[in-house]
Amino acid sequence: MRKYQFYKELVGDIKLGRPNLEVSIDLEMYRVMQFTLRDILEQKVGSEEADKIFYDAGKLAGNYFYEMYINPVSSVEEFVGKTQKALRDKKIGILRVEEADLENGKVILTVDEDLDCSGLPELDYETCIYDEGFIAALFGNFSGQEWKAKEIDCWCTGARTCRFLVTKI
Amino acid sequence: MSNRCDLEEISTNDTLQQQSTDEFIKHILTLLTSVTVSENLDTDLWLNNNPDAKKLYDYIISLRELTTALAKGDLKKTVPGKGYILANLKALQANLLHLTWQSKMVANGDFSQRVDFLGEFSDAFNEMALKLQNSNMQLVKMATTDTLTQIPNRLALAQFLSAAFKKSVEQDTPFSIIIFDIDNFKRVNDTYGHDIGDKVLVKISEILNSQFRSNDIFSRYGGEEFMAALPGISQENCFKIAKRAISLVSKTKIPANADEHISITVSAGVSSRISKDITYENIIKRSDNALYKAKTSGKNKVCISSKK
Repeated sequence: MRKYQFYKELVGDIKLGRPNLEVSIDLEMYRVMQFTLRDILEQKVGSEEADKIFYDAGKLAGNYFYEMYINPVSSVEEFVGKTQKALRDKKIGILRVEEADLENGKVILTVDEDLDCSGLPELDYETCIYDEGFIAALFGNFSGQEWKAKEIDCWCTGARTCRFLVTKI
Repeated sequence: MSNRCDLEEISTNDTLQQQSTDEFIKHILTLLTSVTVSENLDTDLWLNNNPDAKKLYDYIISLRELTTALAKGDLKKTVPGKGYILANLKALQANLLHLTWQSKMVANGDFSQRVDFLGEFSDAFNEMALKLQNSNMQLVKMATTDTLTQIPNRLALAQFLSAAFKKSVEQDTPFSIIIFDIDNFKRVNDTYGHDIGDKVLVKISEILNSQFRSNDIFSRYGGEEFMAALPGISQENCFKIAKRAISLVSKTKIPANADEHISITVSAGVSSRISKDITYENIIKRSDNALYKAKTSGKNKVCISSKK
């Protein structure tokens, strides 16, 4: 018996529940929540397992996002266009496509002003694991096949934009 | 004596080191400013024992390689290294790659692409995309609109019928087609001339068009023939709609000149999709037969296809 299984209604009616504070929160607090959660996860289960958890959680969020804001789409162009718009509207980031060869299962895209990492201090590792899962889920939902996403450039590693290589498995 | 030797040695070492540093700086300047660089240069002397010099040297090599590639239009070049200047160049490279992709999308007919990251170029690109979008919309409108009546033409009709028929089959919902034909139209042209004939076509199309929903199509089918296609509407209901439409026409007087008004009537044939229909042409054929029946049995009436 699961206690915390995610379903879309769990997000609740935010407008109803927050008539004064409304739908947005300060990004600083979102990052605090994410990074403190990752800190504790790493302490409890190790770095590798913490990354896997973040990736899978990102996938779950990607599934939700696709169902709520992307679906239905009938072409690659519409998929990319709707995803760009939804990500911008939700202030998650500015998505740009460098290469989109869905037929051969290879996409390279960048996310500017990324929710998770833009402005972070320089680190020795790419940090957007949650985004990786999120992006993989978007492509998975669109194509009906399994995709994986890997961040190859990140703000944290000195790039000004996050670049992801998305490939069909 | 020995002290003097030591001092001379230190002095010689200092001089050598100073010479080496000067050469290193000269080489860095060459890398930054010259087209050609000596390839046989031994850099180990400068770099092996100086990690910062090595870092600086590698950074400048990456900058040189990336800027050379960008200058030549090679957007796929990847170089190692991070930090402010390289990151800015990589961001520019990413933007140019995205712009390339966007240009391909525009070439494929997606005129909704907009650029928001390249200053004045963005304005120029967006203006171009907007103009292409508007021109394309105008061309599509011209290609799918009847010039006289300004209602959809046969091309638009065919596109609509194809999609609506497919949907009707997939969802097993009714789909009906009406063909209207103006009665004795040749006589109007012969009596009053083609200008008045055109005026009649425009007026009749306006009256009939007003009887359909936004998700139906009402189009010019031929000279004095019009066709309406009604997704989700059964044959019986379609018959009622057609009857109401032709009744409205028969009550309208169209001015032919200052003294004279013309009364016009219209006949119509109605049919709906049946299970054995393979294409929308099957429905059109039955509607056409029904129209023929209306024409040959007195006109100003609607006939319905009897096939179930």
